[in-house]
Amino acid sequence: MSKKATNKKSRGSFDGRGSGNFRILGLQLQDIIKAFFGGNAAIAVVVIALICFFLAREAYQFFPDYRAELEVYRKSGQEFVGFIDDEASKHQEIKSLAFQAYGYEIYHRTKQHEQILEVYNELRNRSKTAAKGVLELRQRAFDKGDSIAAELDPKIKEAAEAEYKAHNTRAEKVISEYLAEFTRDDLSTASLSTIPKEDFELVKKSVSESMTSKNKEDAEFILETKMLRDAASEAAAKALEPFYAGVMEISAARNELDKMIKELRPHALKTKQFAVAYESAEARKEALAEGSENATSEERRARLEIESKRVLTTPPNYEERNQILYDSIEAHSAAADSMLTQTRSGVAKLDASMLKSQDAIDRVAIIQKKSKKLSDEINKTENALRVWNHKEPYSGWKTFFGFFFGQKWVTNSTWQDFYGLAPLFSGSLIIAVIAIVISVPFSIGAAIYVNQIATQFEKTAIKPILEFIGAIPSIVLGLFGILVLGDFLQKVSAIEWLANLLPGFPIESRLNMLNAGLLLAFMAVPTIFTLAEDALNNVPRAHSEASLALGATKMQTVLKVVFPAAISGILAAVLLGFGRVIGETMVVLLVAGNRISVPDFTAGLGVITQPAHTMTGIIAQEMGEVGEGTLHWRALFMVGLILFLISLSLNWAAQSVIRKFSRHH
Amino acid sequence: MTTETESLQPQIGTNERPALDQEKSMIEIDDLSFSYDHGKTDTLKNITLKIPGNQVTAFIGPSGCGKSTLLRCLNRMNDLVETSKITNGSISILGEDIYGPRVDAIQLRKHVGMVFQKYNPFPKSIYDNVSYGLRIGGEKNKKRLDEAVERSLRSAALWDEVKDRLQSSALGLSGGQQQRLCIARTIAVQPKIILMDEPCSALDPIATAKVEELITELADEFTIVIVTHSMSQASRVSDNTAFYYLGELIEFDRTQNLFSNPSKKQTEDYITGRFG
Repeated sequence: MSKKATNKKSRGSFDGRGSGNFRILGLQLQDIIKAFFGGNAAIAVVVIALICFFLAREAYQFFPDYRAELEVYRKSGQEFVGFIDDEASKHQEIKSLAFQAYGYEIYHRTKQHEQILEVYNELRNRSKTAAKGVLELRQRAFDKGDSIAAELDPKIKEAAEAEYKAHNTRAEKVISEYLAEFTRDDLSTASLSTIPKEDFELVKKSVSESMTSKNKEDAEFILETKMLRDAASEAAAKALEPFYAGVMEISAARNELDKMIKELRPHALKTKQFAVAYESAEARKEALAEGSENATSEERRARLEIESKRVLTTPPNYEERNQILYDSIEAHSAAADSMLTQTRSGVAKLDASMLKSQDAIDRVAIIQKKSKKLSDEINKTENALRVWNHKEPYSGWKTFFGFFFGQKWVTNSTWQDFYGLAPLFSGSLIIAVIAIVISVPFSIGAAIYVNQIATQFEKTAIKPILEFIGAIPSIVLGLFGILVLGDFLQKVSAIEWLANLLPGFPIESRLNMLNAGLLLAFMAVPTIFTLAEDALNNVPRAHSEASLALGATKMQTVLKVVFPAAISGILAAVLLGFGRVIGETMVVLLVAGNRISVPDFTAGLGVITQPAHTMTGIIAQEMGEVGEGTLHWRALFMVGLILFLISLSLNWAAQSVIRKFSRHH
Repeated sequence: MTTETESLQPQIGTNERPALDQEKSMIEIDDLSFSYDHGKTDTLKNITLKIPGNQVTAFIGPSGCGKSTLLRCLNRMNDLVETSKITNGSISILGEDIYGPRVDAIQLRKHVGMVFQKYNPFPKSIYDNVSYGLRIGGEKNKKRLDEAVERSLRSAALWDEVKDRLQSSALGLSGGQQQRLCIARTIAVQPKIILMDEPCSALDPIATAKVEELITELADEFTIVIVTHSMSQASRVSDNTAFYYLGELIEFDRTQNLFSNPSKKQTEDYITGRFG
């Protein structure tokens, strides 16, 4: 008994509840602090769970809805017309290439003169800006001399004329001074800079002449050039007559098919409108019926019931309406066949040997390739039309694949919306890969330098600067991409030897994936640099000391011991950098060019200079203008969900790489 | 203190211990002062010492007495500290001033190997660890590498334990094995001198015994300088012992003499455990 008593007593003196008097709801200060920190961590977890939940909730309904819409697309016969449309668009590619080839050739043949005229226009505009002030004064003097007061008083007129003359002399001086310093390299595009020197001097002379002569007429040289241009263009057209005949034949080949599409399209669209009207009426009827069931008063119930019965719901007679489509299969065969034969005969007339422009010759080669594939395309369409059946349900798999691999992202269309991820995903992926490929060597090189080689002073200078990049708002970088980098890239890519060396050069569009990729590479630097530097820092000093003590140089130590020991951490840094880049929105929205189509991979590596749209960009661009709960809205949420999953899996991969790394140590 | 040390030097050198003096010296430290902060304060003060070849020499002394610093001067590892500086005197190895203008620290370290307090094998295979020094020296011949790895591991008394798993990670070995691997890695490049900075302080007693045995064996082939704060270890493994206090060399003698019959009071106080 006495033992028990001592136990009790001794427990009392160490009892935690005895110490400290501050209590809230029976909790000690320690417990409250613990709860505060724990709560913060819990909130983060809860928020992530909520984001997942809401994304999934908005997105999950997408596939059933999309399937239902595509089923209407099929039932109404739009799919049938769509097949023919696709076939026609294949021909359209050939047709527009043919016109392009012709245009390039004509331009090439008159280029010598066109170039002079273009330079002339540019120089005129530039001189006007350069001499803006004095030209305005001259204009005022001219107006004075032209006024009624001057008509009445010859003294005023005289004074005005003298004034005009004085300003004109000054303008002449300003312009000639400006032009004297202007060289061919100052011209806006590289293709103009190739103008022969004598011509350039003549153009300069013509500019100052025309701007200071009384009647402001073009100088003799320019008038002559214009005449020569017209003559050359006429001669070119004459020489290219057989070629042009081929172009026209190709163009006319589709007439029959176009006529057919023109008839069938409105018909199918009308069927769709019926179907949509029927569906919404059905939905209204159902809603009313449901309302009447749940009605609070008897009177209300009866009224809703009547209203529900009153809604007319007659399903469109698809059978009858689609009969015209089934009947047109034969007519289509004939139209397609004639298109094929005419196109072929037209293409045969496109004789590349009469062409001088490389651009034109290239296009003729593509035309020949494409026209060979045209018959396959026609056969494919033919088969698709024959097996087509409007009653066949649209399969879930097809909807699923149609979303993930679909090549079309078409919205707000009067015909049919398509939600295909392929163009957006490929855009996002290519841009992210460009960014990573460019930024990884720079950021890891910088990390190695700062961590292993730099002096203390360099360390304190470089680290904050690189980390500061992360503080630049992405919209600012986007503006830089539009206003500076785009022009710069275009100018550089037009340098002749570079254009010959690199694929995709010269760059056609100022806003493109390369431009966006470069900016994103810049943005990824702080992420990759900081994490890689941490990874290098985590390599125990003992490793490098051991290596140095064995007589290794600093570089051998870095490359053979420190870098391999940090490789997992660096890999994780790259993965997280990739996640950072693929989720970036503002820069790609502003700079990537926003063309919704799968990039043309036949260009090889040159694909990177094409414009594209991205997954993040499309959400930012379209989210503001879609109605809540519509299919389009759900599609955007689906894209968001996929982005979220990509980021999540990249983070997970990075973490598992690091876990593997830490197990080794 | 300084005057006392200066008056000590002739004693160590000439009269009382002719046996140690007659040894052919491998390392000659002459009036060395060393600073970690651009010369503002000297961490080592006017040390003069001749370390004989093919023997084990132990550095003892309380923490902060400069024994590790002196050790790191011998292979110029202190060069890595940017603010460090030799303020006076010189160190010669085999008659050549190692801080001389024509000496390359990288080349020096190939001749003066080092084993660290905490075993630090690279996160690579056992084979790659041992062959590392030769590989960075430009050796590519597989056969010669194989031979060197086996010879070094045998010398480090590790061969029988690891010969079947040369390609597995060195980090899978026990602590004692890892330290012996580090020794094997050091002797693979065939240095003349091996510096050991408290090589057993992270090991358990059994592993310590093995490493100590190894050290006495290696003394036939290499000159070994070992820093230790275990006086029993110094007395077990070393032929000669130097005692440092506050950056100065207090006494240097045959180990047996120093422990049985110290000539300085500070030495006696330290080895009898009155301070330190």
